[in-house]
Amino acid sequence: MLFIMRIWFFSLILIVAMGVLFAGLFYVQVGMYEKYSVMSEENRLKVVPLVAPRGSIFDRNGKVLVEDVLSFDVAIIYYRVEDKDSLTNVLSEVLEVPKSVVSRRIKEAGKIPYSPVSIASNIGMEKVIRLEELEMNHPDILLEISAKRKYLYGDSAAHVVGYVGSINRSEFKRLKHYGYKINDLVGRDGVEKAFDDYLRGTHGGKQIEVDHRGREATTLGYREPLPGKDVYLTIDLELQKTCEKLLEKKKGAIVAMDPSTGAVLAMASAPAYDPGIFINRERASELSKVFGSRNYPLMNRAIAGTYPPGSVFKVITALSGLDSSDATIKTVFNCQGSLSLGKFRFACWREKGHADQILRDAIKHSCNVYFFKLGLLAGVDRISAFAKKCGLGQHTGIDIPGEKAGIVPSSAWKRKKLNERWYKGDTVNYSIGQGYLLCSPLQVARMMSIFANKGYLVKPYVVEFVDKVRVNAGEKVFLNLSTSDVSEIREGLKAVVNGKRGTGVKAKQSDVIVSGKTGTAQTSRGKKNHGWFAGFAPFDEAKLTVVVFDEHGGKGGYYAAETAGKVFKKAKELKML
Amino acid sequence: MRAARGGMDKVLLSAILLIAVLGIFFIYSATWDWQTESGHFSALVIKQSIWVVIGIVLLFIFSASDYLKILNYAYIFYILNLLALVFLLVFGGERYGARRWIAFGPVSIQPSEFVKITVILVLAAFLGDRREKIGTVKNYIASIALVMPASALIFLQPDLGTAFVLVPILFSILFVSGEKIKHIVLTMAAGLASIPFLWMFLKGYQKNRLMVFLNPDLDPLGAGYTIIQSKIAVGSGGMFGKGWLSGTQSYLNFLPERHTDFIFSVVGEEWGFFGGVALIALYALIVARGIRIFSRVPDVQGRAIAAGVVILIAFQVLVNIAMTIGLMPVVGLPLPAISYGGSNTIATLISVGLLLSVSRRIER
Repeated sequence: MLFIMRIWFFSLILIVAMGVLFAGLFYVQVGMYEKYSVMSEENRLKVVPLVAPRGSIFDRNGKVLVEDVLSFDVAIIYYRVEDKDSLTNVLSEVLEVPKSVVSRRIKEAGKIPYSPVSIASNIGMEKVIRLEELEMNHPDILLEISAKRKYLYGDSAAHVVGYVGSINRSEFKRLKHYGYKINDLVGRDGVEKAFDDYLRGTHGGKQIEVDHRGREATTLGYREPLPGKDVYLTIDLELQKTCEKLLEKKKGAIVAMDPSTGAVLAMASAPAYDPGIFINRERASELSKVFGSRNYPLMNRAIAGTYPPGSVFKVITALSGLDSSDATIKTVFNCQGSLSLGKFRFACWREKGHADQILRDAIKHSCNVYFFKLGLLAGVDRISAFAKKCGLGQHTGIDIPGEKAGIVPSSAWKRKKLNERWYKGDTVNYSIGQGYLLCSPLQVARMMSIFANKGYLVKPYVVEFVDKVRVNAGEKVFLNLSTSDVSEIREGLKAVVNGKRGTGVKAKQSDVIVSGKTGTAQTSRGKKNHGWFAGFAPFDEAKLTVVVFDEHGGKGGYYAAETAGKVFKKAKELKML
Repeated sequence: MRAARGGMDKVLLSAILLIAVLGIFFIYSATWDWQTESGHFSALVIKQSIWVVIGIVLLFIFSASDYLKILNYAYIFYILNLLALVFLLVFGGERYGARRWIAFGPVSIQPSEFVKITVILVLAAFLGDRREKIGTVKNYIASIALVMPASALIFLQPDLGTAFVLVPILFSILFVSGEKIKHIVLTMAAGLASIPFLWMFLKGYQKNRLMVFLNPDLDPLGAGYTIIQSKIAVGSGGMFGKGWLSGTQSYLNFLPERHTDFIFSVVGEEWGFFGGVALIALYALIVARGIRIFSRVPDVQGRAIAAGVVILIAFQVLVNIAMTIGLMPVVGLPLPAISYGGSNTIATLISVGLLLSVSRRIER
């Protein structure tokens, strides 16, 4: 009897133990199935992104300005480390880094054992080959290939090229359906931004099954990465560099444009920045300098800066004056050094005056009084209409972002904006490019090109080809200006540079006829003048319009003309003229 | 000596043969080479097949013999086994941090696996000889003292799991052979009280395993790795499993020791909950038949052998499976007759052979 009890007890213990085992098995396999099956999939599946390089950016002669270069980075994955000492020795030897540095990084990696921790980036090809040989025995070493954006000429053409930055959270949300990935670079300004869709490649990827050490076991799927398209600019790197050199340590902008097509051959804005600072972590300190500077180096002054054009605007006053029935190219106005209007006196820049002049001479001398009188004949709204007709006060439509329209005032504009009537004094100021008028250097270049090409408005552009496809061909808008008027103004512009006592003689070249107009714009009280020169060459069949804008340079148009002369000189050397 | 009377337990025989053969399939899957995806038999599968064949032959030999005659040699077997363990401690080369194997050319023998049998036999012989004294304190202490040297030698190897399995074997034999419950309870209480002292004798990795059992995330890539990966394998098997040769956990090598101590995680991953339950049920069948045998066998020796074998198999199955699903710390106990290893396979089959031998003597 007792024995039977013992057997029952014995069996009971085993039955209970087996019950616990079944319950445990049920819990793990049925209760926790979801969790563990996900973990098992995560264990075995891995997607290796195959990065598509971004397209390169070339200048008009096929010189690479910006490209993606492959960067080989070394990382370690801590949980795969089998022998710390051997890993330290190997890495220290191959990478030529002190052991203490390597072992410190390995220690840091221990905090995030499953993530790769970078040990060195952008290592040389020789080291890459040595590491590749080692990779077989060191599954803990990870060689990662990434594409790094490289701006070969630093800050050269920075404002045209623009820069890239990592996509931010809100952009990613908006753009993820277009194939953007988190950590992707996205164009932030200039061509990089405007042509981002073309430059950006389509990432590929490889879905692989991995073993417990993360080594590839089988490839389950493969999608080839498609590299981005290349972009060819209208910019000539040599001319661009010359323009930048001329702006060194100054503020301002230089635009060089083909007046017959609108192709921008050089566009410099100073101060500039190096787009590389946005993508190199080591250079992050330079970013705050750029963002913090009161000189706004990120702003492309050629398109986003608007300034009073000064006497350069006199060509518009001339067109409007000739358009009114009261003046012709033969009309003579007398300059006694100033013009009195009621109790106000408006001075010419030459105190003793220019005496009697016709339009051609007035342009040459940049006589203020002549244009006061001509402007009063034309009237504010006629001047305003011609300014608009010649592309001022509106976007030029250039193919890079950030353009500002500027201001072309009119009587209606003043009433609306300032709730004031337009005074004759306003017209006087207007006719010499002062007052409310604000233009960007590119707008001035476009305006001057009308006189270079004898009558049509071009649409400026900086990108000519994407891959082999022409994307801009030079749009023309014919303005139906009086041919004789334009031709007379052109004569004046020629005299500015080439005539005796012309204001722009400093731009004169011995081997090509440069024509143009200087400008010295007064700015707010206490600040130095802006200096302008806008001109073109050769006189017939002009091939180049150059605008020099010297921001608060204080030296006036006379010196801007000198700068422009150097640009023409370089263009001649480059056989552009 | 009486000659064997009845036939042996056919149900028990079928169950153990089925388990041994299934084991080969599990090892085939566990060692399947995913890189070549060739279904060729790995060396391990071929070796295990040989062990199974040898084990089955021995099983039939032992089941056909009279266990009472075998018990005449029990002390000799036991002493030889102890000598082998001593030899190991003195001359044995370390493998995986322990001295468990004696090598004979290409074959390594693990004497501790056979101790499980020789302890059962020596206890059966001892209690059989002194059946009038069962229940006395002296006899009780003498029985324990008899097993002590084997336990100590294995503990020193160190092989915690095997040393541990001897404890339930000893007490269940004492229990079914009629020792006083009072004594057994007192000893167990003393044993529990001494656990903190045992802790001091444990090796570093053994302490680690116990700590990690309490919290696997303590060391997810070290000692806890095996437990976590094993749980992932078993858990991802779900209700019906991923199918034979389709366990990603095991064939992609996430699971260490998957053909030996962790073979059940391969079973769990590929055959799911139902497969696991079916396998456990096969073992349960052996256990149930074993209980039936020792409840009906008339002599003390037969009871001791049957109870010892039943508890040997039951305990190892329970601990091994509990360990793969994280219910128990990782102690090196194999899944009887399935985990890869000649000594385990052969010892298990011999022990069932002994059980079958006892089964022929039961009163019907």
